Amino acid sequence: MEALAYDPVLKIKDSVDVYVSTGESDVCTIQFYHINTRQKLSIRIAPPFSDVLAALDGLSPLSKILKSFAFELDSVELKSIFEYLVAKGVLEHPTIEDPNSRYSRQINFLSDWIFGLSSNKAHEQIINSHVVIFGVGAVGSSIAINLARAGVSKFTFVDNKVLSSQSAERHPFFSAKEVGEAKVDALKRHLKKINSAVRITCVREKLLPLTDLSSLVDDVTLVVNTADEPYIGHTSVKLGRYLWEKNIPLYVAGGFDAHLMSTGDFYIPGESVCIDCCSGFFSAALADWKPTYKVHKTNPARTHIIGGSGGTYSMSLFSASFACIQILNYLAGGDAYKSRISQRGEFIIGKGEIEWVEILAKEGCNVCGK
Amino acid sequence: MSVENKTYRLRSCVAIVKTKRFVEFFDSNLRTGFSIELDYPEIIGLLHRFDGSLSVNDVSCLYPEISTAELCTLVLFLKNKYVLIEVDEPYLQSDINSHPRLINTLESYFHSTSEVHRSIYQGSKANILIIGLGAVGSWVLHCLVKAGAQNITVMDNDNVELSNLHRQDLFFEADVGTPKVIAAHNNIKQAYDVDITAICKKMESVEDLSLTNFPDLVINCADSPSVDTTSKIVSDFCLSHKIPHIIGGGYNLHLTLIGQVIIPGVTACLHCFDKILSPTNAAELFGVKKLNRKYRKIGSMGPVCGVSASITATEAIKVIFGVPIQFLAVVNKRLEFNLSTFDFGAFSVERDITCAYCTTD
Repeated sequence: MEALAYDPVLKIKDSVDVYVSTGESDVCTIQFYHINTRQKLSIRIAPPFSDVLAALDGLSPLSKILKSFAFELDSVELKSIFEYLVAKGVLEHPTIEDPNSRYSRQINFLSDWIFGLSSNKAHEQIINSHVVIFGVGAVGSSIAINLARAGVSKFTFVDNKVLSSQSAERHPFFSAKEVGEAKVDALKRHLKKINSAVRITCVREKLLPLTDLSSLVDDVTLVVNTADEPYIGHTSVKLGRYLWEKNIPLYVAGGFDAHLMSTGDFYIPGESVCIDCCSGFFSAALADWKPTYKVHKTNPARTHIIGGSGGTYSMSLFSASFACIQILNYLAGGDAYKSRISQRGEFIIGKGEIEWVEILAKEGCNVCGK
Repeated sequence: MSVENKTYRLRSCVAIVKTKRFVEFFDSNLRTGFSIELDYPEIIGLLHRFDGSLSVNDVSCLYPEISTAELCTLVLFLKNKYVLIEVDEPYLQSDINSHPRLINTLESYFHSTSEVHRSIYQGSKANILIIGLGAVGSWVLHCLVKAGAQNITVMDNDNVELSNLHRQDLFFEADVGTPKVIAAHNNIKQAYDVDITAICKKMESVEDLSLTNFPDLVINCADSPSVDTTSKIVSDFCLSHKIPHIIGGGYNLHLTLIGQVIIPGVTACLHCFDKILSPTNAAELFGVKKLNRKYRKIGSMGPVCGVSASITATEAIKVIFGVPIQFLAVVNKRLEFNLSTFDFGAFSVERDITCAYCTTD
């Protein structure tokens, strides 16, 4: 066989399933299914081509692969078929240098989840993000851990609390040995073990109405709020109003008491409702629902109400994981996060379903104008 | 002991809302509720009296206009609805100090404090086997350790790789090159002072599972060579020994799948599912076979596995702590999480009572 002028390195995209018809001897049908978009493509070619397809490994040039086969193939036909399959998004020239590199599987995933930019660029956006997290309790810490694992390389954590013996029940990796340590410091130490290159600023402060945010959040990529004292609604309003002015997105996570497995929501100028419309919406929606909860004087625990809020770490993990999927989609330049923007979901633990609430803006709001 | 001499506590997580004719009760842990028609203006104050130290008789004395019999009827009704819990045994102070949220979680599922206490004890003693410490298995293991499980065995023969770290919990940079089960054992021991049993082996047959001491729950998180193959092995073993099991998640086209909980003889087993799923799959694939690709690595992202693992772990916790079966969510159905709509769907399958594999005969 003459030396091929066409000698690329190729592979079948990992997110494409491939089926070969059996039964015919001189021609076969090959069907390609895109896993994520459910699009199909069929071609009919001579059977030897399917063997070559299966051998594409994304590392060796085509000539090397063809050497391992006894049959000969027409090089012009080969080129036209493969170029067609590349154009149809079924074959690709591999973009990941090392398929065993740290983020290779994630970059693969991004290639079918983020459209409009290359998966490498999408992943770079994640790496280059600076995320600030207010409140590093069970949910906040779990968000930090997930984002650090995904490659986010710069964080600021704001929380004034220390670990108590109670924390051990729901804090990821915090144990009795760390009682008394500041939550932000323990979290930093944990993340450094995951990724020694991560850069973290720890701020041992409680978010208060008069806290000066400028030194904390100006110029960051995204702010996440899980600070629920005195109430997550109040801390979110303070953050939301400031960040909206600065055109910095805010994500308020779910997973707090009475909403143990829940999704959070984004506040992004031009895309979502504003924080005041959100508070207003819930105040109005719950105007006639004034529940009473009884805390008994006989409560035997000093720091928790027996008979009150429950919650296992797995539930906090749900809320944190859900948050991170939306956050990572946003950071990577995706569109999927928009499908639930200004919606809040409660995962009903007994049913395995989410109940969604659409948050509507106040009519004529001059902040979000929705 | 008759109801009037028993002591009850109104659970603090239950919201009570009174309207003119109705009283609404809402369990804020489960986020479920109900209403009753009751026209008694003092009802909330009355219910607040049940603080866990007064008997029904004691409360009845404070409300002479209501007959004790009427009050007993109401109390029994609300106890059965998990609004009031019978306080027949005080909780151990050690449990109150270390696991207050677990106590509160379990109170939504039992009618008395003694039952909750028994449940906590049962959970701490339960033997759990987790097959596969990948992205789902590692998170599930961590969740179960934190829930208080003390006797967990893990089986996996892989080493930690750098490319695992972006999505798998429990492993750090320093663990790369170490067998996963060893790294998991060491990191859990260091953080929680809990010993897990590490079996560095790949599950390839039912015989491999016979090596473990009989578990109370088996969770399959292994996908090599495929989720179907590993799930079948776990199913065969567990059905023959009547062991509850949770089988795999995985991917199907653009959906993340969260595996079903199987209580042998009670809920749909793997074969009940296959009977319905196979014809659907087969029809599409008639006369075709999947191209065998050695170099394929499907993409994955940590938090997607975290969502799957968190639900599996939450269901596992219910099984481990003996929560009544009616509270399980992922039974007789497989959950599907859609990454474009961020929503869950379900593929439901009722148990086939003629199924030869999970019959109770």
